[in-house]
Amino acid sequence: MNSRWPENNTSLNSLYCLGAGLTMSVLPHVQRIPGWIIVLFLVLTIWKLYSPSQVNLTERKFSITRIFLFILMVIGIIGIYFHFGTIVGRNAGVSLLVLLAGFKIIETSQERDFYVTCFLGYFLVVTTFLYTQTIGTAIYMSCTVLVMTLSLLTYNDYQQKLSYKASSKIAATLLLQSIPVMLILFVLFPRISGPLWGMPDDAHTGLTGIDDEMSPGSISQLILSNKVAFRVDFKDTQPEKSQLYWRGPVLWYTDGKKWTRGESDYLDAAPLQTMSDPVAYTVTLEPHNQKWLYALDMPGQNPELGPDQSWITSDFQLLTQKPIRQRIRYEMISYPEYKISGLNNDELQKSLQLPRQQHGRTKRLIHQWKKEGLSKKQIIKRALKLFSEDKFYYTLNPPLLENDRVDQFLFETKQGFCEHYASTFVVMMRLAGIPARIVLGYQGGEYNPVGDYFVVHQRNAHAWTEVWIKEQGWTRVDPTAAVSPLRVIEGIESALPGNIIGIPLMFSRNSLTRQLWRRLNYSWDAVNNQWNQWVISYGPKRQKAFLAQFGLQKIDWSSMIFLIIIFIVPILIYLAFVLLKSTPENGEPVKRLYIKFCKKLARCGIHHVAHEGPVDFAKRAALKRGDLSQQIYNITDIYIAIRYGSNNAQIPSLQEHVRSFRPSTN
Amino acid sequence: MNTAQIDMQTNSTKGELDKIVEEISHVILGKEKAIRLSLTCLLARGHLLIEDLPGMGKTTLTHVLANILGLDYQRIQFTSDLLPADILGVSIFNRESSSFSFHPGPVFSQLILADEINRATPRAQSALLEAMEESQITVEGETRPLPKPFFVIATQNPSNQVGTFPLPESQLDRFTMRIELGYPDNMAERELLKGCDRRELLKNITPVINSERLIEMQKQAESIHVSDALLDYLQDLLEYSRRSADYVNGLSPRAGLSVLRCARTWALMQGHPQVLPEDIQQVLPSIISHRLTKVQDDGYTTQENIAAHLIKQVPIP
Repeated sequence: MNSRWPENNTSLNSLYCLGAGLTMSVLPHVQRIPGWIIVLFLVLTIWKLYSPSQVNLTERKFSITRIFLFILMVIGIIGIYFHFGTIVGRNAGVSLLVLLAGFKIIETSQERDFYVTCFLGYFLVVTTFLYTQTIGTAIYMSCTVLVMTLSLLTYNDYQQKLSYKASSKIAATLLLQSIPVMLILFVLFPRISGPLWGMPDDAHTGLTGIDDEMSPGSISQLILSNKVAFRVDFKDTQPEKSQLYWRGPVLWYTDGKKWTRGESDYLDAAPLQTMSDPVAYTVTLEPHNQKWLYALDMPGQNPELGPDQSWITSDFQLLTQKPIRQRIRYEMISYPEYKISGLNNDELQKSLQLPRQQHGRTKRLIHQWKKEGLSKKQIIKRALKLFSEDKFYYTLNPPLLENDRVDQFLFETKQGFCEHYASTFVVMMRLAGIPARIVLGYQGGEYNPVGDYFVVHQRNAHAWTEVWIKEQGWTRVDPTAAVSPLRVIEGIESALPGNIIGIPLMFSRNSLTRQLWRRLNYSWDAVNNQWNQWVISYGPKRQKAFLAQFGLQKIDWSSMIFLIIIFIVPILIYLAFVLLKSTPENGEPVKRLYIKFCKKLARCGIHHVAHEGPVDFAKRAALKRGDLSQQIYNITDIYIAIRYGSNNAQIPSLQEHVRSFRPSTN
Repeated sequence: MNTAQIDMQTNSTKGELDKIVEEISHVILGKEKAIRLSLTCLLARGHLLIEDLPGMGKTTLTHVLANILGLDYQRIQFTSDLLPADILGVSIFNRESSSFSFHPGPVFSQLILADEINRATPRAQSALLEAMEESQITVEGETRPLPKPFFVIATQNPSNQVGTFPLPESQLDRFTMRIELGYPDNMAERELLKGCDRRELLKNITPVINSERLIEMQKQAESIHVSDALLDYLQDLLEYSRRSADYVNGLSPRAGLSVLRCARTWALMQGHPQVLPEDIQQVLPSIISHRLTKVQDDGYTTQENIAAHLIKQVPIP
């Protein structure tokens, strides 16, 4: 087949659609892949759209354009290799795909090329979902799919009978018609835990969250992030805001600068003495690429993600077998009032560890306190008092600390963030001989009245401490609260300027618009939450729970496949029926009436042949059934007059005759 | 003109044509279909090629047609030494007027019988074929119109006979129809043998209509109604012949026009107020068989076969 572009206007239209669709599917990648690839892609696409037939590569095997394009492509691939160090993986792979899509569209001249390019476009749409799966992305990509489908439609509209509007309508109808099949596949297709295929290693670098070590500045960076860390749905009672300490990793070791976790033991026997009613809740955790979960202080159980998938340690961390790279949902029970007694030797050593020959000034201060005869409890109080009464400030931009960070912070700069206070406090306690440790996690959360759940953002990241006191066991002490009580009671939002929380200027002017903005935000987050729950996190567990609602409690994947077939086959049969019925042959009402007439005769054993004219058929039929000849000739005459004599006035008469034509079958 | 009047006219024309067919049938026995087809061809302003073995009545049919339609008539016997001037005419020097005067050849008549056209050389053949297409000839720099109506009925022996120059496809395309007469059936043969000499019968034939009436009928045929549904069918047929891998080449647009014109005339002859798919199917074989060539011609492909195959393949929309 020869090139269709030069002479055919339709193909040109479809080419424009194709170009638009491809560009739409490439645009979301602008931030993710090197700019020169996008530019190259756009240049190639525009070149093709500007002169579709000029770059006709099929005519001559070796033309200058062809050689030029080939060299350009090789350079492009080498460029990608140098940029990423590979041509596989998520970013490099997408870059390569975008680059090749540009070259594919430029060489599109035959029917096959067109379809290949089009399906490449559909595939590019899928690649965006490797990065983001939000509602916005889904809507945008639906539009892209619509445009791609439109290009297929215009390409197949040989007679150019359809306007853009009409084709778009058909394309939209086609997509709408595919929804039932899509829903059935979505609901019933067997889910497996974990992604269907291994994601490239670089896929998770963008995930934010708390690290498993703490150094100055590691948390204050998170504070600037508006991303959601997790959402919490409390079953019955909601604890007070000041009790919302979401426990993450526990840090034991320090080298004077950094704090790290070290090994933690399994929790064999629970040393947790509960002193209040349990709080039950469900956490929907965003992926953070770390091997732990968050729970309210103090978690009372293993979240049971699966056999050997998660466990609870003796310092009440919830650890997982694999990094959390997908949004997960787990149910938890916590006890806001508790007592953890028991401190073994190993733990005692760990909780008093300090780097040698550091923090001299602090050491002297503690010695002084000890000399004053203060008890351990009094030393704790004294330290907190120091933070609250001396000129300590809570700030996101503390001055840079060098050398001995604890000493410098405590005696010179006195400006810091939760990590400064927590680490300094723990060092002070350990110097005083009080076992202490740092706990990382989140503090607070925002209640969403629309969806009735709490949202914990990255900006809620926090570090606090726990000290071991003989009578009380491990006790939570939050030195930051001593400096900035509001931070704990009201939440981080009150301690930060509005622009960090993300209220646009036009909404932050007065309280009414601020309320409105909040409300909008809550609704949007609630919608997002539903989307996450039901679309993105629709995993094996959800699927099971959902199907159980329909009485399919114990369903294995083979039965799901069977169900899919049961549901989809009727849809396909129905579609086939509709398609076959609406062939142009049966399109006209007159022809339909005649076919009805032929069917009635067929029941008497007189079958109409496709190439047989009406008069010939009437003669044959009348010969076989003399008793019907009058009727047959009547109907045939009217039919001829309408269909070949264009005498449409007789249509009702034909209807009447065909209806009343009831040949006996013998 | 309202429909009733049209119907009446159609019916009267049908009557006349039936009478012509009947008259001819007295001479050419048992060949009503061939007679009707040749009449159709002439009424559709087409040229007719009759191909058959010698002695099947080709020439007789032509004679009868000319006589009964009241056309003036010339016969050109094509032989291998026939020159174009023998057909078109020649200028001869007139001593008295001291100038050349043109002596028109046999082509200047309403009906020409080109007998055994494939026995002449291509040079002589082309002289006639040009006249057929243009309805005018150019001799010695002067263009001369041919009379109206202008028909050519050519006869030829099957091309596998000795001493023939087969017409090339491009020239065959100029003949609207090609028909075969074939052997008479048993009864017709008996009647033929019992009856008197055909040449005697020819002398007794009187014209039923004249050339003016013939032109009128041509116009009438052209006004027969053709619906979109019928055009769809015709286009499907043409499309199939072009797309199908069975044929070397598809049907030309000229072939399509010929089919439509002949179908209209056939409908007129049947007294139909509109053209029906059956009319197309009736005229189709004689119009397309000399235009379509099967890719693998097995040697048994007859005119009917090739058309019947095409008709069977294309459903009536």
